[in-house]
Amino acid sequence: MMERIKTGVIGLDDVLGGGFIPNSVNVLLGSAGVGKTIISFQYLLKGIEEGDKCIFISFDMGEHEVIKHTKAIGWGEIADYISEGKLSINKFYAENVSYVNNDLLNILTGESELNTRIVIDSFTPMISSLNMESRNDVNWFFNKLRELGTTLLTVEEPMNGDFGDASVTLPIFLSDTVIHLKNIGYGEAFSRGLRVIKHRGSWHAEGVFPYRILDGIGVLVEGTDLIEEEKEVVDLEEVLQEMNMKREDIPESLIRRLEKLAESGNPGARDAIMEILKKVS
Amino acid sequence: MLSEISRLLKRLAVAEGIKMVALYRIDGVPLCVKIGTTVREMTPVLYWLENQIKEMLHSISQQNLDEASFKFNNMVIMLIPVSKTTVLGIIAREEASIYKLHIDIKTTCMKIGKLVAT
Repeated sequence: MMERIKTGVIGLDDVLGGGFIPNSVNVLLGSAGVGKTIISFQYLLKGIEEGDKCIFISFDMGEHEVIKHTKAIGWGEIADYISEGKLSINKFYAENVSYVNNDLLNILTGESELNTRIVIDSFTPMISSLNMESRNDVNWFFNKLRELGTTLLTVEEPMNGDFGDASVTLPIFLSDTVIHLKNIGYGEAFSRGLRVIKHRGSWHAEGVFPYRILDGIGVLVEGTDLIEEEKEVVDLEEVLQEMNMKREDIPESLIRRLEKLAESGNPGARDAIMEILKKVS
Repeated sequence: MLSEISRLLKRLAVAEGIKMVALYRIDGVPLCVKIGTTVREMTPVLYWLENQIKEMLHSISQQNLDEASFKFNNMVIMLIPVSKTTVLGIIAREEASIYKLHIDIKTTCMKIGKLVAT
């Protein structure tokens, strides 16, 4: 299995098939108050635990605010990590910064090590004035981030739900993973739910997973027991026998693909294999 | 919790006459779907439902309805509020025994309601 970067959020790695892909750009999309910053710090705390270099870029929180807010959740150790140099906090002023800002890139390049976890919270002020024609520039910036490490960007979901704005669509299109968080505010299990919109180069669980925000823990993703239950590992030989077919009857390239599907554990894999075999028989 | 909901819906989906059961969040997002027939057969109805569901759920919630039902070709579509945030959607054949189904549906709604209310 491909190496993964653990998110530090209990349950989220199961939804993502193990975690983020190394050297990828990952987006947390959601409106204010859904827990994007909390997940960001869980990601960084996990990185520190694993010995990774961690960088936090923010437009509204400096060291003082970070220590204050994370201490309120129960993560008092963050203050020590900052003073020990394990976590670097950098505050920028939104009116002075864009994704091509040299100071920002210098900080990221200067502080990055072999395994670096970068969080930009939030990415929205950096691209709020852009239109879709800036796609190539944002893509260039994302490629720079990929060279430096594994990045988590938070993106503000417009309160009117308009996903057509370039500040939302560009990061969605160009990033490797998008996780959408939503709180409908009625206080039941599904009031807060997350789902993976995309996860390039990896399987991910489909559907909405309820989550809670808990003191000490942060975000806890629930309902992941269903993922294991629905996994369906298929014995390809058995299916071939059932359909009175032999390997030799099927093009080699297709057999390789069917083997991959059979091992994948994807729900519905058996039915899909049978459907494909019916078509080639 | 999600696996328990999945089991409850699966049990309902195999009842005679049922073509699909789904638990929707009040904003129209499907939380768990079980289809008791071929997906292809259901696709046009599901597309239709997807386009209508937000509006329908809004009406159910605003007017405090016990249930809303629609006829679509030879199918009956029922939407039954389960809790403050969830609604059960059921698609059944028109000739299915709605009375018997209602008993199963009410029991399922009660169980899911307890699960999601936590």
